[in-house]
Amino acid sequence: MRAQTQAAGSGQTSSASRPDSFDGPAAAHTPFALIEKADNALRLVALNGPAEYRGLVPGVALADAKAMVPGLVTRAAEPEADAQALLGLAHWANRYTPWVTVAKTDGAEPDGLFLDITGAAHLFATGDMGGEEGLLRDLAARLKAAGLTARLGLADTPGAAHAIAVAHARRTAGAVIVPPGTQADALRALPVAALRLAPETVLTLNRFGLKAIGQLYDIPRTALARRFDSDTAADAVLLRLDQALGRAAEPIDPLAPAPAYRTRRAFAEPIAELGAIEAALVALARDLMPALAKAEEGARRLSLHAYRVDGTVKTAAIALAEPGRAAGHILRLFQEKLPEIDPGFGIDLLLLAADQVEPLAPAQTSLTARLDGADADPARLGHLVDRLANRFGPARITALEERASHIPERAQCAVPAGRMNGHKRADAAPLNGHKPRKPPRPPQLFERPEPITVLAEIPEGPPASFTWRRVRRQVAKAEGPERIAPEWWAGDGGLEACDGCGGASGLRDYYRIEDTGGRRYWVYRDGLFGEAQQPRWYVHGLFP
Amino acid sequence: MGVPNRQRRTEGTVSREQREQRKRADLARLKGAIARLERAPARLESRAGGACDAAPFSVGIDAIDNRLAGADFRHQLHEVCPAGFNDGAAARGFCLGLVARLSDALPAPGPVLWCQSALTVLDYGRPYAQGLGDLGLGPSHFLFAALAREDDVLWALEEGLKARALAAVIGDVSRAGLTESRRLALAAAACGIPCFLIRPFSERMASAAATRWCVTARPSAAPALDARAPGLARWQVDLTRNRGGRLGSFDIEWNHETRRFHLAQTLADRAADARPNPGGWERADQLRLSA
Repeated sequence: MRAQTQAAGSGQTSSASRPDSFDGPAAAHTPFALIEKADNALRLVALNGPAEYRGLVPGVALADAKAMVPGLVTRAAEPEADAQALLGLAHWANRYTPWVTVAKTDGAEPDGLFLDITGAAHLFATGDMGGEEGLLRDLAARLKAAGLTARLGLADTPGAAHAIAVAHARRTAGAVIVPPGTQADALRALPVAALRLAPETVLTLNRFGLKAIGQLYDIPRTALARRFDSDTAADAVLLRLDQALGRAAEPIDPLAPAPAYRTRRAFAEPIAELGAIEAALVALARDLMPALAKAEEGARRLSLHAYRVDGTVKTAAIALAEPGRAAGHILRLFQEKLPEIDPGFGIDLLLLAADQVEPLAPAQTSLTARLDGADADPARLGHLVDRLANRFGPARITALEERASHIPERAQCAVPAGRMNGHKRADAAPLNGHKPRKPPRPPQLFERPEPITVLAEIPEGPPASFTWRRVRRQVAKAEGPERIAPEWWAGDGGLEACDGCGGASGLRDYYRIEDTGGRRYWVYRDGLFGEAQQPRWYVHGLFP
Repeated sequence: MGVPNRQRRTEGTVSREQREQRKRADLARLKGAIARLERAPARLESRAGGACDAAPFSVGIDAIDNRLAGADFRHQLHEVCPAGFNDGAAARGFCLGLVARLSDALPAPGPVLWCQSALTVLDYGRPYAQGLGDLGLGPSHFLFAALAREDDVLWALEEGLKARALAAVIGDVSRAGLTESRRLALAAAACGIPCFLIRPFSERMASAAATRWCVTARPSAAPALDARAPGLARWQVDLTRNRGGRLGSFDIEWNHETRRFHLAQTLADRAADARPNPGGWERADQLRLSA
């Protein structure tokens, strides 16, 4: 594993995250500091180069600092904004590798990024320059263009890369590459503070005279542990040392789950036209789909990331109802989403990622398939569902599933039409030999039962006439009642929870009613006569 | 160069009638060969469920079938309108009946896409699986789309037609003008999938539909066992528009058990005079009336 860290001082990220703050050409030469109220006094928390050069260090009270450097410009520190800016930078760094996470020192806020560039560096090899060097140069140039001061270190382990970046690059202000397997030598002379240890631990080590990391190599581990009063501090030192030297594993946990497959396309000249983005997307899909086909996998979710020149990332995502790798279909889905990508001043990198994949065996095309396309292709239905669901949202495209419940509105559930694998013959069995249940139900059910005014009613029987939607209807025929009681085993009883107007008993008496004009209704009486609350009537659906 | 001349000379000797006869025989032979070639792969592929292989569509009532364009019914846009404010449910029932007949006729029917706009969901509610099953259409036969805008519904309908994976497409729309319906009609013709538009009763916009059916609910005939219960669904269906066919008005019933339309018995048309009463004390009275 080649890990690379990029440590950006919080002062720099802060100024980048706030356009209104200290900025401009004079920034490079004016001493600048971020201040925070701590211990009842305003203290400096981060400094830029000129301020450090004049002898200021973090932790100095503002009054003292002003006395030392009269021209000091200060702003209040915003740790939350810093964290947000760092996260944004981490997402931006996805353009180099999907394995990006924030780096932090023990007991402090995150102040840097780890990029695991294993297997990604060769993409940046140019001419005589190796891939690692090329990547670092590209990264440094882009960060500088974005106004960020970065310290870059590259080593076999995250710990070593961090130490190199923090300690070494502070002086050289550039990128340092540790050749593979030599991190022990590279770290030997660096201060122990570079090991991501808590400040009090560093203080303890310094009191023992252990100032350089190399001094820790020779001390027996048990002897080192004995010098600390707590086991945790000793363990922390040993762990960080082992991690830096590669003796203990430190996997990088990426911020976003790393996609299974991804392809990227960088542009020498930023693109902004929709046509150019589409053309690039076609090329990306042509790259990605053969890789999926080779692994016998199909994508369920895909995302297109557009890295704009201003350092922000725009993303468009699509989902497929069933795994697929048909480039044409995927392009068609993306075409709906492309207008959402605002190219801004231009896009210099497009990245297509298959975020979720599932096994998909290669399918043999039928020898006898009809050429005119009248053949019932099971994939076509999935494509239709995908197109509808990506345009309107999966919740709007539904299929119905029956549920075991006596309560009419609970007897079904609308599920997103997902894996409708064609129309199965097994499902079709009830089509021909279907026996309608007794008593019948209407083909459509109102979302909420609609209250009706019953004008003349016979107690414990169907209404003789009623008013629904302002029209009075004379009842000619009726069938019922069908009594539906609350499901006492379902916890909330079901009926009351559904419309919030159940009587004391929660009983419903359903009637199938036909009026003199032949219109049919499914009405119910909510509650019983003789209860404290007079029963109310509702229409729940219409029969054809 | 000499050969054609000789041929022309010899042809000149056969009579004009014989020549015509020979031409007809040749044409018939070629047509037969083409038909054989076209049919062979379709037989091999048993699951090939194109509309062309299916039996010709029939409503099941000769009087209506005679007026319809036969196999073309599957390639057309059809409109179903309620005749009055209260007949929306009847129109939907008739439309679902047609869809049930259609998907029965297909060897391997795809699902039916039913698109509703927010307005029609509010007016008539959401599809209900058990009720659809009672009509003879299981819930697995449907793909439902509840969309916010009318334009979305039209877009989804056209996509559904073009996907060529469905048995039929139903659109519950409150507004579709000539342009929109023409688009749908062309897509239906090109893809061989019928499209049904359920229009609101008040709307009489120009339309490119092949047929328009106006449906009125009618009092049902009393079932044999209980004179006071509603019987089979019964509608008066007016064919008010029929491209290339005659118009007509029919009094039909839908039998959900046999999944068939049939003409209603006119004798059953009398108004139900019995007041609903589960108590049964009127039974003797009613017997006297019917006697």
